[in-house]
Amino acid sequence: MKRWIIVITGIVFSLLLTSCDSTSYPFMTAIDTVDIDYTLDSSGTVDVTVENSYMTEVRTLISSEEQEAGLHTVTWDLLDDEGEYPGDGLYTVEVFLNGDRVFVQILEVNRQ
Amino acid sequence: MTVLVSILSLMVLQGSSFRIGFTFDGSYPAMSDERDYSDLLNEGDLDFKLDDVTWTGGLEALGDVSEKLRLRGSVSVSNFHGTYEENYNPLSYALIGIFTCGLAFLFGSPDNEVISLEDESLNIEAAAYYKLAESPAVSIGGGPSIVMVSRTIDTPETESSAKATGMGFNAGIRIDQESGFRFLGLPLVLGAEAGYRYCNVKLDEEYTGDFSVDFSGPYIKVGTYLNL
Repeated sequence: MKRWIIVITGIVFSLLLTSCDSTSYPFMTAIDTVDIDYTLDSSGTVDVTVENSYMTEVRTLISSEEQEAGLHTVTWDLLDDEGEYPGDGLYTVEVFLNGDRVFVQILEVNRQ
Repeated sequence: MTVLVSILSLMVLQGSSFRIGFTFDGSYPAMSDERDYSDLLNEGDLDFKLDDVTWTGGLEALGDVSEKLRLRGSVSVSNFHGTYEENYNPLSYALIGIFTCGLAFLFGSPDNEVISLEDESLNIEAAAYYKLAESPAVSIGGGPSIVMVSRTIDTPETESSAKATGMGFNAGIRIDQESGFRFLGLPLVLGAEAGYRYCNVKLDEEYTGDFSVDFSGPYIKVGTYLNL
């Protein structure tokens, strides 16, 4: 009986340990408006777009805007260019500096 | 396709040489859009990995129309996989193993699949071959295919998928040889084929843009057939 209590306690402890295991994924989860920080190494013309998991652009957040080097923040309200919600899934926010992609933030969007 | 099925059916009724069997093939698909997408995810610090090889399993029928002409019809399913996995903390995994008296080690690897990509295609192929030699029978040929593809991405909280149907083409050289073995009293024939498969289908749903699932690439196929 004592042995079974030890085994069951061990299993419960293990499950707790597993659930507490690292879940800090290298992507953000967004259920509402989300802020994305990015750093520019130099100043220049910046474009920021959002693409879905089919690499199709669903939203232009910044278009041909002159920005200085340093930390910047862009906000996405999880809507596409037509103001519609494009659906749950994996999205990428891409920052272009003078036409070159310099930063990618992956977002798991789950609003519904 | 309908013509091929009709011809194969007629051959069975007329008692011509007819074979049916299971095939298995491996191919190196182009998947250029998937590779671009994988590169994009990797740029976003996600260690996303794509398979190099596509595995296909199918059911195939072979029949000889004449001494020189061989027809083939098949239904097969191809699968291409990509994944982002996270390893369990080794200390946690060791403790789990200890507390479960080793049972945890019996159930798979400690990897935790966080994001998975599944590309699948259902292929219905028809092909005609010209026989170059007998015993073993060497033949070359090809034919069209109807391809139904699907693409699914699972994340911890979401699932998104898209489907499309398109046309494909395949061409190859095949070798068929009587094995000498029998199954259920019927002679077993072994077959192998190497060739190229064109199978690029553009997804046509909302928000899929120009994204295509491209199973095109060289393949090597082996099969075991029952000579009916």
